[in-house]
Amino acid sequence: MSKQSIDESIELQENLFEYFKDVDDKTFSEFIDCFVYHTGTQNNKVSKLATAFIEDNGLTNAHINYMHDMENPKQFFSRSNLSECSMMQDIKNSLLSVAYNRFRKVLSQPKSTPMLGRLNKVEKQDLTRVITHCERSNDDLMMDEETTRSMFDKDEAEEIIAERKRFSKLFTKVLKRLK
Amino acid sequence: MSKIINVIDVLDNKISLEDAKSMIIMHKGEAYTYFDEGLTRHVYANADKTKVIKLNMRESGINYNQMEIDIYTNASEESKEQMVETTISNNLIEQEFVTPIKFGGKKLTIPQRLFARSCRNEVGWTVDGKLQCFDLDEFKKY
Repeated sequence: MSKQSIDESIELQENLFEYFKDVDDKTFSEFIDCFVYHTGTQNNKVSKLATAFIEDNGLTNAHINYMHDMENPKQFFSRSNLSECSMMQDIKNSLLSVAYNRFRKVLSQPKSTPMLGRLNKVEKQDLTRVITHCERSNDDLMMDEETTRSMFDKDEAEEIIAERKRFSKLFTKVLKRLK
Repeated sequence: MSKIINVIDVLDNKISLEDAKSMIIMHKGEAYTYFDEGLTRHVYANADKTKVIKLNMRESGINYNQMEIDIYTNASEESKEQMVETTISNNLIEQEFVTPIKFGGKKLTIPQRLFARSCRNEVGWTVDGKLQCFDLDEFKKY
């Protein structure tokens, strides 16, 4: 990875952090399910957030084209151009990094006052449900490596698959602590 | 002190582009010094960094300056808003100076980054903070 792409990646993460800083963890997590893992949502708040995010960031065409290509991976010509496709993919990866940093803060609390330990029963149930959902979506994607490999070039596909494995470990760890 | 030459000396091959990089080039009574280069042209900027001129690399065999002015001339008004103002004179491209994003400066928003990528990052900041493409051959090509 070149210095330029690392700088771009950090810049993108900062942009996303800034955009979502006032969004609560639960909504943010559901947004990620919806935007990154394409699970769809029945939650009006998440739906509005996704629409606003796409419009505010001038991604309407990029998103439509990207989704079309995702749904039709075997088509000969892709509808997205190179910049749209790479931007959408980088946003998805950066969203996962931003989300990881939020979860990491929870995990890195001192053991004497563990953040998870301070959650009440209902909050724990909520968090467990959200992370279980993320884990399930991630597992589904991990099982479908073939589609990932068909959509991206070799290096990108390996990177995405490795990222999913890292997240799988993280989700397992968090769920174990929540038990 | 750097040697002062006339741009015609470079255009007439009396001085090579490589040698000219360490010299001051006079064009229309104004002094230009080497600023940057791409795959096809060398770029010289004036002292107060308001204008650049672009000199074709001879060995490429294609007149990229002519290509660039054709792209600018034929662009829609909407596209021109995102392009650096470009003119041609004596087979030299003259453009307003913009600070390329590769030289740092402001952070880009997501729409700006998307635009930059569509131009292979050949974009820069104008004095009033607008992002414009300076290598028109790359304009929204990707």
